Amino acid sequence: MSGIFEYNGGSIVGMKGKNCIAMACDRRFGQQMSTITTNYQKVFKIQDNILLALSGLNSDIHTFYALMEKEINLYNLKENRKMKPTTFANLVASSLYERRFGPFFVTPIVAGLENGKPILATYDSIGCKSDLDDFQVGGTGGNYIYGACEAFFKPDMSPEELEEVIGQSLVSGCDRDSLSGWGGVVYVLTEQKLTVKILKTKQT
Amino acid sequence: MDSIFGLQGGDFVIIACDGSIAHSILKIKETEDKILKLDDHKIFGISGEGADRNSFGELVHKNHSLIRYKTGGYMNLQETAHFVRSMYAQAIRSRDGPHQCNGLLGGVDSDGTPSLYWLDYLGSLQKITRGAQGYANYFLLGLLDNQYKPNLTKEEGIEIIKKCIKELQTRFLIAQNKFIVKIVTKQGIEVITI
Repeated sequence: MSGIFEYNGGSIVGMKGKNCIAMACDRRFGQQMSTITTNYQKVFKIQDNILLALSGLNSDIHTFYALMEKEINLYNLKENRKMKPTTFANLVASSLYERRFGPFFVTPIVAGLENGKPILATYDSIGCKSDLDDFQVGGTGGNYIYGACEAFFKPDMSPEELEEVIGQSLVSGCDRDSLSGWGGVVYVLTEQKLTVKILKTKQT
Repeated sequence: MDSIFGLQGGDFVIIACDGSIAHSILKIKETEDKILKLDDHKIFGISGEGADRNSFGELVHKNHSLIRYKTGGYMNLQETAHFVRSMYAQAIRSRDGPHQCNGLLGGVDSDGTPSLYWLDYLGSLQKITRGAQGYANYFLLGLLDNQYKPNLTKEEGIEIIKKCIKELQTRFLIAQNKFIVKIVTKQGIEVITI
C-alpha cells in the first residue's frame, strides 16, 4: 500500500478569524485512482462550539469520530457540563497517542470558540498537537492549500471574509491535487451560529 | 474477480452479482449466489475469496439476527450498515487480520425509503446511489453514472442492470455468463437470473 494516508484521498483546512473560526474540506472519497462518491462528509460538529475535521483513511475517520463522540457524550453525562474546546483538543491528542504503536491513519484538525476566543489545533497521526498557528491544513492536498492560505490569509478577518478566504484556499489547493476535490464544503462558526456552504471545484 | 454492482431507485434497491466460482483457471460453478439475504428487506452482496465471503456473511447474518432479538425485532438500513462497518473496522487491527471481502448492502426501510451502502474490507462506509465492487468498478461506474437519474422505476432499474451485464460480458476479460439479480422493494425481495 503506497501510503495508507493517500489511499482514500481528501483535504481539510482550518482558519481563525476575529471571534470566529472556519473549517473547509473537499468531498471526494476514492480508492486510489478510482472515485467512489463525491459527497463524503469530513467535518463533524462535536458540540455547538467545536468542529472536528478528519482526513486520511475512511475507516479510521469513522472509527475515530465515533470514539470522540463517545468520549464527549460520556463527559457530558459524568460531569454534567459541556467540554471546553481546549479540553477537547487535548483529548484528541491523548486519544491518538493511546494508539502510539498501532495508530489511527487520520490527521485531525480541531476548531472551536472558547468564550469568544478562537481555538485551532492540528495533529499528526500519533497525537502531536500544534495550536499556535492561525491556519492549519491536512490531507493529500495540504501542501497545495498552504501556499494559497499564506497568500490570502490576514489576521482578524470577519466571518464573511474568512468564509471567502478559506473557500478560495481550499478550491485552489484541491484543483491541483488529483486525490482531492469534487466540490468543497465550508463551515463558519461564530458565537451565534454555524453556517455551511457548498462550493464547486474543478469537476475531476 | 467477482463483480458486484447495484443501484438505488425511487422505491427499490437492486444488487447484482456474477455467479462464477473459479479455482485457478477452472470455473467450478456458474450459479453461485453471492448476495446474502439478511432479512425480508435487506440484502448484502459480498465479493471476495469463497471462504472469506461465506464466513463473514454468516457472521454478519447471525450477529444481525442476535441484535434484532436483543433490541426488539427491527434494525433499519443505517443501523445495519454501521454495524457491518464496525465488524470490519474491529477486525483490521485484530490478531486474525481484516475480513478479506468487500460488500454492497442494500434494502428498503419499513417506511419505504431505499438505501444502498458501499463497504470495503478496511471498514470504509459510504451511502451511494449507484456503485460496484471489484473489477466491475472500472467497467460500470461510467455506465451507471451516465444512465442513472433520481427516482428511477423498477423497470428502468432492471434495464440499466441488463446494460451493465452486457457491458461486462462484452469487455471484461473473464467470461461471466450468469448473473443473479436481487431487487428489494417494500413488498420484499425478488430474484432474477440473467
